[in-house]
Amino acid sequence: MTAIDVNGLHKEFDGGVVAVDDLSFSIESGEIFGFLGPNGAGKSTTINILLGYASPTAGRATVLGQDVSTNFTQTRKRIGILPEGYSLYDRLTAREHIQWVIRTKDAADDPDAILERVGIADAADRRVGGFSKGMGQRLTFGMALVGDPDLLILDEPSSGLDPTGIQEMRETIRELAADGTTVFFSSHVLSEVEAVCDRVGIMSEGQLVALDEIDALRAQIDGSMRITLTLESVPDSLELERLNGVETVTVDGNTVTVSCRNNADKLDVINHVDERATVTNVVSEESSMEDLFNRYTEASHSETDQQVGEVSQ
Amino acid sequence: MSVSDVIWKDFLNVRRSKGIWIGLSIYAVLAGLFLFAQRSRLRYYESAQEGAVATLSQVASIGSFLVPIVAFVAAYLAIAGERETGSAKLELGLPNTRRDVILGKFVSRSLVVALSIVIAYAVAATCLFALYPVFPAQTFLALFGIMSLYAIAYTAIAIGISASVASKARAAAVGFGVYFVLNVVLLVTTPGTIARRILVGIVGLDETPDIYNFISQLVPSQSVLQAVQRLTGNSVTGGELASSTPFYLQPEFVLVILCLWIVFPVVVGYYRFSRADVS
Repeated sequence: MTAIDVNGLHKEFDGGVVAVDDLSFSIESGEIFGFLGPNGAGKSTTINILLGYASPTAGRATVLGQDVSTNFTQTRKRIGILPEGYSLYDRLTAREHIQWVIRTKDAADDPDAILERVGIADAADRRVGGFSKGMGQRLTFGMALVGDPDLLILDEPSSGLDPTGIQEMRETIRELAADGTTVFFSSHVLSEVEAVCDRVGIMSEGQLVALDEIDALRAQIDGSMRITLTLESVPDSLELERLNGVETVTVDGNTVTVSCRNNADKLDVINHVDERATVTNVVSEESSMEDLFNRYTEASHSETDQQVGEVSQ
Repeated sequence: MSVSDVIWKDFLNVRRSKGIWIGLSIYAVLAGLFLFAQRSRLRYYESAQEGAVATLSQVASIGSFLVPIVAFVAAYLAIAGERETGSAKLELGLPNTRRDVILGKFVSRSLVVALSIVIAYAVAATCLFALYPVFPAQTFLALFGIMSLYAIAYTAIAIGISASVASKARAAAVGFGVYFVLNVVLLVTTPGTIARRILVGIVGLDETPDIYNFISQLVPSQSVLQAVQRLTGNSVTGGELASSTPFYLQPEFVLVILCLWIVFPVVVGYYRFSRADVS
């Protein structure tokens, strides 16, 4: 089953600013999909269309089998939303917020159980006006969980959360996904997406510049497998450049940093050096998502000259 | 039914706003003070009944200027404010249609504003019982009914404005503009006078006073004032209505006018809101 299907989506604002440009992708049920991109890439605009807040200039978006531009209201019972740039009702308590969502979704949840799950049960009867950003974010996440949704759409969910909060939210997301909930997770924080998502789409300037599983995307990057060796002393000639798969070698004092094409090459490097010197420490790094991300977003920067404005919030 | 969920949440939220309660009590305070001050002037009227009716009519006149302000204060942020802060994203992310939202807000804010009329007329009734020798029940109920409907009509206008714009500042600006045109400009002239100038002065038609009156009546405050004057015999033109007066100039016609002013702004607001991008 397809949870989200986007086809040829295009959104142009007044004044000719193109926020989303011919976007197509689809997400299967049960997937945790990471939606990455720098601010202004068109992520929020895409999400606004998926949630029915905004209508596309052209193209189609189908969520849980329902076209978002027609009779979408009832489908929202099966969707949990944590939007970006939302605001809670200062004069209502946390419990009243959850009760409101339960009523509107015709759900049978217990408000206290939900508040317990997101870790703010002790603040249930406090008015939200006095909440910190993190507590507000926890409450909104709780509201998204009401009615055991089939699809969770989370836009920058970790903003305002402390590390514990982020960790707890991640665990909840994994539990839900294990139960078959589809999660659409948008973020500009790479480590977030890397930590929870099965598959990622990278958006830049209104277009999807990459769409694949994280491992597959990583494998696309050449020469960014790095290994750093610390030696007792560096011999005059290591002749590492002769090895297959080695791209660059830098020596700094007693440390030798080698970048190679793939993981297997690293072992060759270690064996090679071990025969010629005494190795005291080995640090191996995988390509970071940061590298990956910068590669994709920068590449599309230089390729396209078209006017794409910053449109979000 | 989601409309009732929107009403439940909105009413819960609004009734905790101190600002709204201050706004709601203004009319009650002024009505009470006015009735208190006027009690010593009863002896200038031919009968106590006539004096009490005239005083109630003046309370309604005060309301015709004040109630729109109360309604605007209570309702102008209902939708535009939530769009600006982002609460609308939560509300529209739930199984609520935009129609549910606008209708729910309209009902909830109408309840709040109508409550201010109830409080004001409860204060007025208390003053009448305590300080006046008579209680003109029929006039009292008629005026209470008209003012309640008038308050709801202005709530509808405020909701229509709030649904049509995306920010607090615009809602305030448009609201002020509408109040200025519908209530302040009319202190100087009436739409009927303007129509007469055009029809007689420029186009060159014969005088048709009924038409001018009708055109003036299309404005809610004028409609209410004329109805109040006719109901209380406190008419500026004086005397009873002629039997040939057309139906659209009878005092009951104010109900039709006010209902139109409820439906029209809400429909326009819905039309604009349903096509707007909320982001």
